[in-house]
Amino acid sequence: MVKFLFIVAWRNFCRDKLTSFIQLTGLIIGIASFILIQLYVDHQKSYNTAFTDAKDIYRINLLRGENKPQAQTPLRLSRELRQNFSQVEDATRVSPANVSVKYLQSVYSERALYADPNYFEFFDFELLEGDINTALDAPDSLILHQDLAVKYFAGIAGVIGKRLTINGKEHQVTAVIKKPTTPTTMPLTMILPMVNYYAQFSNPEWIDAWNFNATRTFAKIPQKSAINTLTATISDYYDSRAKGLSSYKTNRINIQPLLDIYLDNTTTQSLTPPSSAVMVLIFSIISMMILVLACVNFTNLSTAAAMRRGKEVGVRKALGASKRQLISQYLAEAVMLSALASVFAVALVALCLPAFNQLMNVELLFDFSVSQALQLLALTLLVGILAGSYPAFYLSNLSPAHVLKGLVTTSKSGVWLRQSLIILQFAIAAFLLVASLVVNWQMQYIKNMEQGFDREGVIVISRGDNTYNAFKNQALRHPDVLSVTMSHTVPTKATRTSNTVRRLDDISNEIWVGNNPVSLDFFKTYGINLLSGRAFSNAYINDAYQENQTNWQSSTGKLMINQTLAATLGWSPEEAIGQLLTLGGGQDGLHNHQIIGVVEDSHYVNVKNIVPPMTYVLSAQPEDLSLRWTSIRFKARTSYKALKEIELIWLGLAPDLAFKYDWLSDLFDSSYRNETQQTELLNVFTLLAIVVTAIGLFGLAAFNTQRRVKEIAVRKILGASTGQLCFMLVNQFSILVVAANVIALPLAYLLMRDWLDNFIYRIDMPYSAFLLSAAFSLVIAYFTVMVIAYRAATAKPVDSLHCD
Amino acid sequence: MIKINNISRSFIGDEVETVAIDEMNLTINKGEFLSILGPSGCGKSTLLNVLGMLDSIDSGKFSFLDNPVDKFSEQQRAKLRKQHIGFIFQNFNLIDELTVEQNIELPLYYHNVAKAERKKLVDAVLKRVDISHRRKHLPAKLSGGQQQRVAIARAIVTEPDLILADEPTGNLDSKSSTQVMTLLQQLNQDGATIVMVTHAAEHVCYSSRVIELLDGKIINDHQVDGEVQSGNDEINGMAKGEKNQQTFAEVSCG
Ligand SMILES: Nc1ncnc2c1ncn2[C@@H]1O[C@H](COP(=O)(O)OP(=O)(O)OP(=O)(O)O)[C@@H](O)[C@H]1O
Ligand SMILES: [Mg+2]
Repeated sequence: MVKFLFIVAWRNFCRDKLTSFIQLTGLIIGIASFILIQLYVDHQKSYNTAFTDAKDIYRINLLRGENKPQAQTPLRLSRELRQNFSQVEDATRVSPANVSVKYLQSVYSERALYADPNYFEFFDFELLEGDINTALDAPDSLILHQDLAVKYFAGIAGVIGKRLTINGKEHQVTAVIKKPTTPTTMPLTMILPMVNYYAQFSNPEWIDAWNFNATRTFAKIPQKSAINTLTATISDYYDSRAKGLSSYKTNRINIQPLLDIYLDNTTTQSLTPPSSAVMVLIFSIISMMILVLACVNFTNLSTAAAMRRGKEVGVRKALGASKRQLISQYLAEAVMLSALASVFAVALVALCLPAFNQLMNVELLFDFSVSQALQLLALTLLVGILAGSYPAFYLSNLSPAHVLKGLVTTSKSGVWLRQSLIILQFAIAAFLLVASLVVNWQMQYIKNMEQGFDREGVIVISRGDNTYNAFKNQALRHPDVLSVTMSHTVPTKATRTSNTVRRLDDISNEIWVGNNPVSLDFFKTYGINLLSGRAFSNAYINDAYQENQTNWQSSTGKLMINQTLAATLGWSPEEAIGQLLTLGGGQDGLHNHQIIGVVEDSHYVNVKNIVPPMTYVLSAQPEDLSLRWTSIRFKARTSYKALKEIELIWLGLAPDLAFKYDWLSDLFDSSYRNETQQTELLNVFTLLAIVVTAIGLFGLAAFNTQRRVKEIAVRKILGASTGQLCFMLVNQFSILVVAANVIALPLAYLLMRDWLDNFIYRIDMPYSAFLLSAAFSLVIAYFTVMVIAYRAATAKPVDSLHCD
Repeated sequence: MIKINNISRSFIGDEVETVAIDEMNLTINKGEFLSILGPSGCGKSTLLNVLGMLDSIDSGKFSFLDNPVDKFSEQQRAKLRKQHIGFIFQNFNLIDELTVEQNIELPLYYHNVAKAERKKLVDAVLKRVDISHRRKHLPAKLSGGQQQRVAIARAIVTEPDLILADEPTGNLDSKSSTQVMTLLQQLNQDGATIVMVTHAAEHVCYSSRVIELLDGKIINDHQVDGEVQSGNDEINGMAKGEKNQQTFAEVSCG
């Protein structure tokens, strides 16, 4: 019986090849897109799920003043949690830092994690070698992730006991971590004992300071119900200790589940750049939409084809087929087609996955596990039943008497359904079109907007304090080098935000500012324009900033500020010059400094953040710990050779310190990488949605036109021109497309307005996107239908007149 | 009006080649009402389609109102057809979605006739075929005879010089058939040239001339109330005779 069902289904499939082919193509694209996006969405949601205790692990974030939550916490927090809060079962710390690794004759820069010995009790990675319980006990121990073991020792076996010199100190490999298949926010790099982190501090008091945030704290809290009260009590505990140490009025914490970290892009300073939960949601929705589009194609074409099959139904019924038998017949056909489509779709996904992985910079696997196979089976059945049920019930409900009278062809409900489905499809397509246009333009705008600094031709190198002066001298002698500077932060990276300034005549009014200690030539190196006054210069001995911690009043140094701060203070750039500002507060005493220059606003992290009011102070000594980056501006079109020569200068002065540089333009691009990728993904799937919609329209147009061949012939004989006929055939669809736009565009408007409102720097709502989308969907519809209309309109009328 | 010389039209099917028109010669004069008779499959419809420029010919000469149609492009033929010819079909070929009125208006629309003028012409022609009371109906609601009258109205509304009718009474009962034939006769008397294919020998009486086809050739050609004429001497050498006499005895009106 079942075999018979499929034989008939197969014959029907072959009988109307064009319709079947279109249905199949639509389903293949729909299912393949769905699988691909779901793989991606699953991947995005699966971060950190591999850890055994993942559900009980939380990250403690600080909420200071009005700042966004931050992941950096005091080093002592973990100990305090363990000792004073019984619900916290355990806590651990992770601090990332760039280190220089010396191996054989070369020096490499690596990102390392300094971790507590109980790191693996939280993050139980699988080890290839070594003992998980003791791997971090010895102060010179070193744990490598698989890729690093391969990089340094060309293999993963027998690596234990091998040595690497890290920041000048010899370390011995104690374990090698197997590359995990599930993604994690814990960077896959080298892990070093936390004690070595302390060794880098110039001030040992920082280890116990409540206002020195230098680690990410993770806590194990098995009792979920305790989270709310814990949040309150830990916040109070922290506040009572941190209060007064900085100028922040409030000091709170929040407790964030480990599983939420990756999709939270509000909290700053995560170990891995976060993705966006909203984007993941949007992609889930898009994948559903494309699947719906494909099912709609199927339903649409099946009911259309049903008219032709009306006779078959009549005959079958006359022969005694029951309604149930008919329904199962037509459902079997739909499921068979969707199964066929699934097979092709799987092949298509396998084919596209490498390109997709490259586009999205992920490592998705489609390994066809049992669960994936079951999901696919479920999907196939769902699609088959979803797409096939309307045609099945529709066909089986036809009365044979009606069929024989030829009344099926004029079934109003069928026509109405098909038209609403076309409208639905075009509404989805138009919606996605507007969304991707707006998203693309906004992203374009963000990337191209004035950043206030010149990002071409600048490299940013890790800190090289001891040798900075000599390096600067030698580097400036290189013909390609324009300037060299050091600074606390550089554009694309975060600024300090915990400082306040006040006007002398309004001392009670604190203004929160970002602060960037810089050395000479910073503004020149970054191309930040001076609006008034002058830049720091060694011609003036009093420019350098020097706090006097015993007598705050006698602190010295000049200030440069940005335009926003000048405006906040109520001064024009010119008026600001020569004014005194009061710094300090909190634990520190107040001290006054004179403004000598005002510079244009420049963005720091990225333009998703507003430009803060900024102060710049001159840090005269390269040893000053607040100077974290060395930057070099090159003349235009510098060569790789020049970079090599600079590296030689660097290594000649500091043989143990890796010359690790990044082009500022790359840092800039990578700060938008997630958005850029997701925009591209949106584009690809918008295109696919349009293709699926066009395929469906093509099928329906072909069908409709076929139904009307006789009418077309008659009109032609009555004198209609080819143009008139094409217009008539195309026009019936343009009303539907217009209706679709009328539905979709207001919806798109509302959503896009909300989305744009999330940006501080944003384009105005681009109404042209709506026009373009409407025009484009019309063009697509016209073009698709025209192919068929033209063929029909130019056919010889005599061929189609005498049938029936 | 129409002159065809040695025209042929054959269809190449999957296996066999069917010669639907075989080196045919025929002249049709203005004002004639020509009936075409013959058994099924002898090429009547094909000939009518060729005359109406719906179908092309493989060889031979075809002139229509002194236009060398055989040398014309598809587009030129379409233009000629639009200007001069009206069609009536056995199965009416009305457009189901359009009302009676709209069906009749359609060719005027394609002839770029202004709206007011269209209305006037449609009104006149509706009266002429006596179907005014059904003007707002859809074709499906009409009887076969009424539908055919609408089709005729549609064919004549542009006042074509030539009306081609392929078995216009084929789907009608005898009463409706008579109505339709009378209407055609009137049109002919008003000056239209008509070429009609028919199976019903009795309808030949309404026409002025009859030709009989067999296997793509004309085997008889005569004026309805005049002498029997041979259409083609070559074939009529053998075709003349009792059998033909008998045929025409059946169709002669009197
Ligand atoms: N489009 C076509 N393709 C192939 N063969 C055709 C085509 N049109 C007509 N024929 C063949 O040409 C021959 C003549 O057909 P035609 O339709 O002219 O016959 P007819 O005299 O009108 O017959 P009837 O009285 O049944 O309408 C037939 O054998 C027919 O099968
Ligand atoms: Mg015929």
